[in-house]
Amino acid sequence: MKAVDDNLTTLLRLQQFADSALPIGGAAHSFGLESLVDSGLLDAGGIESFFLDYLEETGVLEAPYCTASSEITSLDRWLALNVELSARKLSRESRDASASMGRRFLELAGRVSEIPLLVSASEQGTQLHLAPCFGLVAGAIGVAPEPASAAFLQQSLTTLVSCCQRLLPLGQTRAHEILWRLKPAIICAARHAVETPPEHLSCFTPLLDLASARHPTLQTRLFIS
Amino acid sequence: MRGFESPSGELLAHVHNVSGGVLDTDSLDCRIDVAASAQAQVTSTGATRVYRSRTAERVASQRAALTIGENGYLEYLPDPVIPFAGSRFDQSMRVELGRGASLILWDRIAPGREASGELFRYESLASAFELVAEAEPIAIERWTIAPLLRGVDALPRLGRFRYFGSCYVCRAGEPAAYWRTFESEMQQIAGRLSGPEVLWGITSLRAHGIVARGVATTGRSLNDGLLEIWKAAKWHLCGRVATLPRKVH
Repeated sequence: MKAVDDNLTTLLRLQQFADSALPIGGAAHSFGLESLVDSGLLDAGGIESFFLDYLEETGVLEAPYCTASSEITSLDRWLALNVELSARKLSRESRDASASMGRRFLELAGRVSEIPLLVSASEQGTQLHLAPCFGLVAGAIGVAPEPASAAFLQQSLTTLVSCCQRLLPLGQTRAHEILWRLKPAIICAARHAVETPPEHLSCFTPLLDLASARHPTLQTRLFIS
Repeated sequence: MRGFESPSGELLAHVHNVSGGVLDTDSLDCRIDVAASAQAQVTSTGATRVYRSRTAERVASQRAALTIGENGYLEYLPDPVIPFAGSRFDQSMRVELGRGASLILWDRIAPGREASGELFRYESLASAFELVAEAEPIAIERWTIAPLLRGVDALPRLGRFRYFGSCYVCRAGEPAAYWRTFESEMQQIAGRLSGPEVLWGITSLRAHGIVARGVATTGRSLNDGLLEIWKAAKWHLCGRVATLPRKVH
């Protein structure tokens, strides 16, 4: 009975931290989507296929940092993962957005859980990105690497689809249809994350990077990134 | 190979490949060390043409290691990479900047031999790039394009564009505020250069530099923009006029 309770507690804690409505600033960032919409490259009809390709590239890049962080035994190694991910995020706005959300996520998780590892990690001075922060928290509450990265991707995509709802004519029902159909791709990216160390990852998103780099120059902006 | 004095002060060197292209069993290594306070401009004599690979095991490779000593300066301006139909190519580059060292480095990738109707007909093109300053990575790119397996025209990748390129501009030790101002000034140029055929974006790296990124529907529009960005960036970075490497353009 105790094991069942422990599993349920872990599940409920994961659900709480993976909620896209968690107050970590996700609603303020588009990670380049606003620029793609502004330039006419992304429209409502292309959202689902965009996110499938997004998962094949950016999802496959971020998830292994989450996975590796969920199994971390040394904060030094975890900080090195954050530095590496910072260097891989070429666009300033997207990099800063990820770091801002990561720090707020970790501070919140450390505060509510009072787990010493999380509190100690949140006191580090370097940029702390959302994917490794999510992984560190998931590992600390007993979530296995694969579900941890799947939950991280689900949270990220839900945030981005919500962003599309504000940028494009995309209704609630359609948004949830898209999220529902993306599940196999999320699982595929999460499995890949377990099998691939972060340093071997490939990610080819020049147009998305460029869109994020152009975001500060938009005439009007709904989002910070 | 010998150095030529450039009007803007650097010593110009052309890097030659006697075969005229990269064959499927070639494994090329290039090492460039710029001494402290030395100034160099390095270019190629023509495009890096990557020839067809005969089997999946035959993957041509090219590795480059660049170091720039304290207060040294390097411009690394190679011609585009053109992967022919059926080619497989792995390229890697690591650049290390010493204290006060400066770098302008560009790269350009073509979709294939466009004049022959070859667009994204190669098997694979992989690239690993690492830029290190003050012993920390400031930019890492690792990507693989396999156009016959995954559509290059997907929106996060190239969308309707065919050519892409980057230009890194760095000096180890400059503070973040310097790069934010640099980014802002270069963004105005990027905006002026962008249009239906080409898009440019400029952004600050995590430290010590900026990167300009471009995608284009034609090689000419990408090249023209890259030259403008190089000229403006060089003037801003070191107050010197950019001089094209001595060769036919």
